[in-house]
Amino acid sequence: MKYIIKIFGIIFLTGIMLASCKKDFPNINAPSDDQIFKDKDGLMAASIGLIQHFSTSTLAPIVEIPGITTREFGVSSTYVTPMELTYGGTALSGENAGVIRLWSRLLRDKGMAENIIANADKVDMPAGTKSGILALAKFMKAMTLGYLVMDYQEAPINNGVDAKFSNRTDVLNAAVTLLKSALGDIAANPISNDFKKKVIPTIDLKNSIQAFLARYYLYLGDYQNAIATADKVDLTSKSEWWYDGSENKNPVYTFAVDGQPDTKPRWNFGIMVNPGTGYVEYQPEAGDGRLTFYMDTTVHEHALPEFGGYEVHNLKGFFDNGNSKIPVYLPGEMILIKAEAYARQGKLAEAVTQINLIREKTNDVFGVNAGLGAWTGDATSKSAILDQIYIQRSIELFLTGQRFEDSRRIHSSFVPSPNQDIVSERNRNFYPYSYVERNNNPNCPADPKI
Amino acid sequence: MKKFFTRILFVVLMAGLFFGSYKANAQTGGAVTYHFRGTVTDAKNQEPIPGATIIIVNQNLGSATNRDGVFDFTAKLKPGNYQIAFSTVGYKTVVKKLVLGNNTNITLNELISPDITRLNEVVVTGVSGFTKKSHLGNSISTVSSKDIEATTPLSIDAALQGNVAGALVMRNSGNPAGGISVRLRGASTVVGSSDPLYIIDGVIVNNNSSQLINLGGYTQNRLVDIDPNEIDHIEVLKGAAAAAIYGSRASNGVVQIFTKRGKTGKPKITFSSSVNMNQIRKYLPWNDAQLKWDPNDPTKAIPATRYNYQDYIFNKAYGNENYISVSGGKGNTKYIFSASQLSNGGIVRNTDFKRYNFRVRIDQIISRWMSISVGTTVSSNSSNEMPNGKNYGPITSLLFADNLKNPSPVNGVYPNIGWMANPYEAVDRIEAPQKNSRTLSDIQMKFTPLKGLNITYIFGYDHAFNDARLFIPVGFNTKPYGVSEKATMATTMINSDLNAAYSFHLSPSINSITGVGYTYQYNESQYFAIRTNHLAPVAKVTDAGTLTGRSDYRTQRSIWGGYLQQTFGFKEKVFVTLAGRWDGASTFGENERNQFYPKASASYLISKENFFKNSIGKVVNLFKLRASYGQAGNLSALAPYSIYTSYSLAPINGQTGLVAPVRSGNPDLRPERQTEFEAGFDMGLLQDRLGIEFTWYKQDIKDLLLLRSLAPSTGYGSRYENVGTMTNKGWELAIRATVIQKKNFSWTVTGTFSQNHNKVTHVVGGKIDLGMWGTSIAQSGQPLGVFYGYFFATKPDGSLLLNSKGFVQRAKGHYENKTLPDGEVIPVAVQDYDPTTGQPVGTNLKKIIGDPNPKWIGSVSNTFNYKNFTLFVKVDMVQGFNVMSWDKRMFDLFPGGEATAKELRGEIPKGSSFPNFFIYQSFIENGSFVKLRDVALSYDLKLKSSWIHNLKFTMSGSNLVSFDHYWGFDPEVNTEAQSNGVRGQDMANVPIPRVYRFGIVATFN
Repeated sequence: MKYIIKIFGIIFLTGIMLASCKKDFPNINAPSDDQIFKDKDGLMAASIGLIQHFSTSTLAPIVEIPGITTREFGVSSTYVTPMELTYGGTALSGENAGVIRLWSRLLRDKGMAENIIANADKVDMPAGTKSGILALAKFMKAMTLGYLVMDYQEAPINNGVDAKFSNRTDVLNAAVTLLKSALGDIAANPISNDFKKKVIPTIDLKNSIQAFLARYYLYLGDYQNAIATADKVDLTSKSEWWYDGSENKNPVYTFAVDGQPDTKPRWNFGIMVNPGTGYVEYQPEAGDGRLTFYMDTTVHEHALPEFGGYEVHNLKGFFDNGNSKIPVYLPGEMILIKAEAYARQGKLAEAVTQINLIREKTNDVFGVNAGLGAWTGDATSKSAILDQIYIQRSIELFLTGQRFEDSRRIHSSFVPSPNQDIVSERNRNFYPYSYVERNNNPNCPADPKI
Repeated sequence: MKKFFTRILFVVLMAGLFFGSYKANAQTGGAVTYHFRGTVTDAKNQEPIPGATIIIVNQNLGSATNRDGVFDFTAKLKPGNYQIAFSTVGYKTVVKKLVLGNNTNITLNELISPDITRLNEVVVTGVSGFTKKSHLGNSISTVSSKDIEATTPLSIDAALQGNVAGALVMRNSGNPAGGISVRLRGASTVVGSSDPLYIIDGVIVNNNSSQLINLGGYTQNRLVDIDPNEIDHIEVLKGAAAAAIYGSRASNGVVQIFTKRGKTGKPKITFSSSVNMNQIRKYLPWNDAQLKWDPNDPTKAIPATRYNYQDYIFNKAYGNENYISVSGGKGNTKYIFSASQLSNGGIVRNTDFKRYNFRVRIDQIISRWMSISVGTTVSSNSSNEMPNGKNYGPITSLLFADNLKNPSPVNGVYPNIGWMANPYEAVDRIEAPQKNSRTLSDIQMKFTPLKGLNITYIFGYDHAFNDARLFIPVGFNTKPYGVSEKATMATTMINSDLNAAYSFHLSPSINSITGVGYTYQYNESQYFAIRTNHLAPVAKVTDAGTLTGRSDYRTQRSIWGGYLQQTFGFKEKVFVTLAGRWDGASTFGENERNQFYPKASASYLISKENFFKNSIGKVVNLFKLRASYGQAGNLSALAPYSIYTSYSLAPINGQTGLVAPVRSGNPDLRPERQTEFEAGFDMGLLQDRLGIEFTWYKQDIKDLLLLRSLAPSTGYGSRYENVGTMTNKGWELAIRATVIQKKNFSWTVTGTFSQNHNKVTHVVGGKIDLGMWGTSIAQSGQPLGVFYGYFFATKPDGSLLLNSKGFVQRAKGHYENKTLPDGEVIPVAVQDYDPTTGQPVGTNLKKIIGDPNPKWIGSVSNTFNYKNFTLFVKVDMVQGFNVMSWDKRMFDLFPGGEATAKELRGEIPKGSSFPNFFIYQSFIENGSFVKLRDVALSYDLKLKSSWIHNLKFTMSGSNLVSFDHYWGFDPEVNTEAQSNGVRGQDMANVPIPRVYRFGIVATFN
């Protein structure tokens, strides 16, 4: 009898123990992909996340990596990443952390934008919110496509397993198509106030789309459309990436200003001019307001001697604080797009007019004012005009990640050396592809020769 | 969680009431009071043995000897046949038949002999109930408190060092609370930890190495919370063959720790105290040239003052340790209370570690068939750490700085020495304290409702709360606005295990033991962190600054499983065991959740056969052959929620966005599975004067989890997949010998040797990066964590190809695809040469340049006893492995290193060491070392006083000498702390100090 009681007791114990086992625990820390794209709130949050990631994270290599290659920055440490970029040549490989970072962050943002585009149509929501979500995602995707081919020879238009690469013309055309489609979305259903207020309070989306459209038309050589689209951009409108200085810091401030940065802007915007006997440092024109706008000219430090020992200044401009806002595009770019498009079309006088608009500008909404006199160069020489445009772009659009593309486009005949080069205006034409892409995607094309 | 806890308490309470009420009933029926007395004496030197245990088997009755080796107790028993066992740590257990009849006064005098060979020990880990080691089909290593008495290890894992064959124990940092890695038979996972499962008194304990605050890779591991003074003995199962019944937590092996328990008798008080001094053993070869390059003529050296920053960064540090325990027992109750305090300084200025431990354990016999044991350990400890890394690590700064500058403060202001931190300022002004509190509790109930049936229930509770801070004051040169960060981690682990074993004789010659068990385990952790900068002056809390980051992350996990194990023994000679375990865990995919792990083992005690006894039995008194097969999993390799693609939260501009993660989820993940086969023999020679244990093993790990890189064009960076296989093959040997055994002098030697060949047999893509900028990799056909990087350019004949200046240079050329044995294709470097100059051309090439896995490890301990003196000498050997010395790399380039000194002095051409910076092969060092790990001389004042029983003095030294050819501080380090794949990387690490200690132990009763 007592054994039966004992055994019964033990079975009872076991029973209670087994009953208390819990076997499923949801992740309360973060939603998963299958939970996000099902409703308006999820899509809006993904849109905000896309802007947050692009502006605080992806923008850093967009500015930094080609910034070193095209001498906007001087480097004062021997960390491998900036050192390899400073030296350039064929030794710069797809294993360079900067090259990897730039590639993978752009593609990550592109993937997020593609997820939003693929899912937004399936969800019921107010038309103005849907058009906002779609237009923003298309704009962001077009932007990532643009930045990709500004730095790499080819890029995949659509993310995916074993993604196929397309040449830069196709990629830029795809970006143009996306931007036009975004404009169409907004035209059909104006963006709702709900979306504007919550997702893009600091961005004038329509103007930004037009601005990037103008940029890509120029890159594509479609000068008429470039001029026409640039004209549609309201130069008094501001679109900015927004930072709070704490959890969301200005990414350029983080690597180039905060603490003891090893990457600082070159005192003359890092512009190298070639009077025929080898590169010399460009001397900024006296009184160019953009010099003191972008830099604290009272501090004189030097990059490492092995990197040329060039003088560097402390960075100001849109980057002097953790919460400084960075423009999505600069209105001055529209003027410079027109200048170049006219010049390329042989309309040299119109081009000089636009150059002088930039040089004499004192009313820029962001305060990027050269405040110089009219250009005194040879107004009959197309190449002199293009050189002036290159210099004005280099200064006006300092640290916008465009100089690599500009140098390649305007000084296309220059062939970078395969060897170490710390002098010429660029030491590569395109970056090699990230080795992570190469190792995991059989469709990854061969690296560019230089 | 709380509900679960209250439910368990309720169950325990119910069980107590329920069974307790039948106590009177159970004890009725003609019991007679018997009076047992006698002595237990050492068979070798005829000295009485205090504290030996006398137990009437299966009756919950027994006692212990007093200081004179005498026992005396009474027990109520029914007349009949019983067994009585005499045992104590380090001696062979003797079991005698006991016939109780009319004579109620029983006198028993027993001689027991030391168990030098350890082949007769009784173990419980991995088996159903108490089992003699000589019956097992698998090897099991044991460490007793005596083994570590002389060396006073800092933590439980350190106690395994050199004491367990096949265990590679590495201290990853010389900080006083620095982490330790234990590898039993090599690594068994890539992404997870290869550290074994630790169980203390039945409680599965947390041994996390969480980096709460970024200290540049440095972490503690949580075993440091527990005072190793509490160890009674340790049992170690090294692989799946032995540990299969621990299921999906066992593929790294199982280390079960048993703490000291009270014994029946008068209260015994043990007190020990020690003081110690730590110092750095060796400096990095710094630039002591007292010269610099002339700025006007960079080829000429001119006099200059150079400073040895290491003189200030490192200092002599002192520590002390005190321990007191009170133990005893009366009637059915036994108890032990203990308290300890440890305070130790670190050799890096302003680092230290303080630990307080309190422990209590009560064993209560409730009735003849039921007993309960309750124990709690409370630990509170704190440390002051020093970070590693670019912006504020003092040793990192040392590597980069030009030591021409005097970093000493001028009028209280530390000079700026460049983009790296001023190392003096770092050690003086950075605060990185950690505080940890820990509670380990267990309730264990034992039932013997039927003869031969043992049921145990264990409820274990482990709670750890860790708090880490980082404070860098305003005005710090490289962080001018200051930094204040705080992170906490609360971890709770609960295990609830019910096990039963039933043993009976099928026939007079066949014995059967059946074990069944069920376990439910629940873990949760809560991480919380706040990071700020731009601090207000004076205030140190995070409220004083602006927010730069925060984190609130919670995880929950449960594991459940059951096992069935059946053993048959034939005539105490042949033992066969079969077992199976079913396991599940919440962390894995729904379809892959439930796993089955089988086990089989057999052993044959040939020495019990008559033919053996009659032939070589006079020399070989024990010989056992054993073989074992088993499978086990690695569940903890993967953090919870890895099956989901979880978007990150991104608050901005008053809204919270969702950002796609770098790592994509994988719903089909399953635990890695290790299949192990081991075979070996145990041999006792010359009446156990010499014991040999030898084991050969082979482990195959499949479904190896790897963080597979994804092409960025997928939108993601990586994903966990079960896409690898790995093997470990090796052998291990333990030898224990009494070389000399005289009345006044004895010499015993213990040696452990082992060899392990680890090979990653398959990784998807042929090669994956493990860390340290891709220098530690896993490649198909190579050992885990081999070093990969740029190498020296060589001529086709293999000799160095120098450049036009006569300096070494990087190899250049192209890559060619090569198919590896597993079918994966990887690019392999092929050097190319310029046809005219013969110099390297092409891209810079990388290849495998080193291996951090030792070829073999060994340890030899000698104990010499002369009268009251004992001398203990232990030598550890780790041979045939490489260390990647980033310290050397930096010192080849930056002017604070010896390379610049040589160039300045003209011993080598200027610029000749610079190329080494780019040639990773140049800083691959031979790490092989032989260390004089411990030397301890103790004097035991065997007092005959009435109150003080024992007084012992010990003088010892640790890490006194290292015989190695290593360039840096010490090859026994690892920058990535307890990381599994990244091993043998040395960058700005704190070396292991040399320690001198003086201690005293007193026992009163």
